[in-house]
Amino acid sequence: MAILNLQEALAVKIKDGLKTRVLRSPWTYRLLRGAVRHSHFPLETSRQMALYALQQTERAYTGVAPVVWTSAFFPTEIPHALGLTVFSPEVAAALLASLGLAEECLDTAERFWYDRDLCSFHRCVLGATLKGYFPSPTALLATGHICDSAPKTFEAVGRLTGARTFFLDVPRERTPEAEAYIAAQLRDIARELAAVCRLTWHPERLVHAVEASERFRNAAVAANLARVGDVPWRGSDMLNFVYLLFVGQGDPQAAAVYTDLAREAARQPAREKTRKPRLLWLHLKPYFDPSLLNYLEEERGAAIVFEEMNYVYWPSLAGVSPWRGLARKTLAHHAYHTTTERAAVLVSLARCYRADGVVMFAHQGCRATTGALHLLGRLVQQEGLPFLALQGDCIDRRDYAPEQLRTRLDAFLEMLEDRTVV
Amino acid sequence: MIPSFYDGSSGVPAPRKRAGYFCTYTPVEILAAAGFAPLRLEPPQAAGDELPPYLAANLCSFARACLTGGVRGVWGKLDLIVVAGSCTAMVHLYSAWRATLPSPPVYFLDVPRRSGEEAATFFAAQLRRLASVLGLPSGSAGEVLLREAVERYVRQRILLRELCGPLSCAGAVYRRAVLRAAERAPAELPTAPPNECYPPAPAGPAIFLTGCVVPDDIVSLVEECGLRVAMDDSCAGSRPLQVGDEAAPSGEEDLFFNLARRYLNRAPCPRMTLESRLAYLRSIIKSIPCAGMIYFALKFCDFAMHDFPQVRAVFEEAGLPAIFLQGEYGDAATGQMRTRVEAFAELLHRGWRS
Ligand code: SF4
Ligand code: SF4
Repeated sequence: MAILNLQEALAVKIKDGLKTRVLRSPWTYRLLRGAVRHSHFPLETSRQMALYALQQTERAYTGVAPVVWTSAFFPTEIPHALGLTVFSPEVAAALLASLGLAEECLDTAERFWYDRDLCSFHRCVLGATLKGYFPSPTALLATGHICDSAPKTFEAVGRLTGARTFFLDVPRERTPEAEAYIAAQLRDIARELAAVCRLTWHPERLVHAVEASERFRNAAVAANLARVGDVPWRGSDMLNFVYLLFVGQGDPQAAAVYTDLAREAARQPAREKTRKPRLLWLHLKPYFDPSLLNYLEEERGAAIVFEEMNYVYWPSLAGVSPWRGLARKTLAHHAYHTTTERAAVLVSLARCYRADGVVMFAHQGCRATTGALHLLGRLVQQEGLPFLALQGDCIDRRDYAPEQLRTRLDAFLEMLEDRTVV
Repeated sequence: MIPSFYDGSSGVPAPRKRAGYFCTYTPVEILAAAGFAPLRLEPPQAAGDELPPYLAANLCSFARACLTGGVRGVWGKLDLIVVAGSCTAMVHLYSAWRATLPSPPVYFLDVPRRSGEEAATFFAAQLRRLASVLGLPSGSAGEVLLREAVERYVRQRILLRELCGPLSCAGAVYRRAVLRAAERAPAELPTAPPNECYPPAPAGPAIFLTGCVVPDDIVSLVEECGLRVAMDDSCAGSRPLQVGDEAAPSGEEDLFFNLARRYLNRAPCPRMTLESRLAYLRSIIKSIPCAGMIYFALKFCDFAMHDFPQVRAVFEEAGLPAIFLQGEYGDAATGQMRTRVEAFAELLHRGWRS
């Protein structure tokens, strides 16, 4: 696994704990780029994505351009239109977990009164901020949709770092007034963000960013379509592309990486017909332990045929004003509305990818994705799709019980295999 | 124990239809103007486990108890439920309620999480839609009804702030009973504070009680430990009373916009921005003398848990000690919690005596 080579290289540099000095040094990035180029990657596009991520990280730590932190699902077209460096602290938390560095951040946050019941992504972000691990933000852009925690975390980070926090309030219902409300907020945020970063807002640059975002979307749709034809990629690798979804929309470079992914998907031979069972995977994975998904996909030979996180839930941005388009996209997320709507999308994805069952990695601090778990499970099962919720945590390994998770996975896979044989 | 002026004997006819709501960001004026008797739905703390268990155990127990309350029919016959999209838990409650209970109809109300002109414009549009769905006549006929309801609630809140505000000598448990009674009979307004002898508040140090939904058990526990709850900053306490009184004079501001603006600017609960919440708490610390702060968060209420470290810092800056309590809605006042509150009370008593 290439990501491990990269991790090893990074781990060497940070042996005694994460040193921001190391992250600010150009030598670090030279070394890591070398490691990326010479490592084996499951997909060529994964290598490109790693190089893109390194470039963005270097920009963030070396202060080439003002850094803005964006919460997951914030329309990043706006900071990209200003040429800012976009940093996703949630993705960074996942990286810290994969490097074994999350626990000290979680401990720090808990010492500062952040309760252990809060989502560990955000506890980790708060701890890393308190420890000074992340690049200094010039501004913080948080959206309230999907995640109740993100705006609160960003506001707290704003108080800790002195950076200005911008909060995008997203209504639940898709109405013309909701679109107008979001569009108005986005316009204000763009104007004020430009002022905070001492830049001039050029409306035509937003048009270009939205065009790049549209290319990104088209490529993501094409890659997903190609996967209907049974591309033999591992779901655990595909989950890494969430990084681009979170930071790359509106950036032509990220759109180019995704375009290559679509091309690479189209070139892949089909998956062996014998590989069974086929799973639709919900939410993310335990970042500190790759062995769970290795076990599922390698040892047990199951196939994650699609991941909910990679679903292109938003409509085309073409044909409407950029602000309206971004507002519509923000409102479009299928998991932000009723559980019935989310279940309907999951069932159609399962049918499209011919999944035998649905597995959710139920990240314990996430109210949004797991709060109505039992209702979701019932709605999915009513459509003839077995559903398994694996209770766990993406970042916090302190209560991790891998054997228990494997046992539950085994039982579920056996049940699916029996159904398939019948 | 309910004050006599709310005994329901004033001859005002009982309103016709009953509209239940959970979140105090629901403008009751609209429900009342449309001919409904607004009823804030507080599940009994002893409602027990949710049936069927559609909501996960890691979701706020208040939302889970609301579903249980609905399934068990604890509120009797309701003609409408309004679920405000206050937080993720309430949106899940909305989904689960619709999947579980075929009647009454459930209306979803989007409520912004910020104040300001754009948010108020959006919220006003939601309120207009709610009014029209509930059958409030359009044009001047509806406006007259709404204006009348708005003015009634303004008068009621002014009086209740006087009766149940920080200067009240009544205990907080009793003040909550007054507020609940008032919610159920908004037309029966006392013209002046009654000459009754309230069950008095404990004579000990005054504290500021805040957080999300603070169950009655916690208020009782605090009073049993000899602390006077000067400010009960919660949904069952004084928060819903802190809606501004500046109702639009005739013809000056759109009534819906006025209502929207006043609700979004009221005393913020943790669902609103941290910034607005801290600003509110800072202002109130200055005006209400207190010896300390007790913060209660329901387990899994992300908003309340996230706010605590920053709220605590604000109180500590003002030299006021704070404690964090956390519990489940149905089982909030545990023995362990009593020990902690007693220890905190002891600390405050020492400072108070000296
Ligand atoms: S996992 Fe859930 S709670 Fe955590 S950051 Fe993501 S959406 Fe928010
Ligand atoms: S207590 Fe918190 S989580 Fe529960 S309903 Fe209120 S805001 Fe939502």
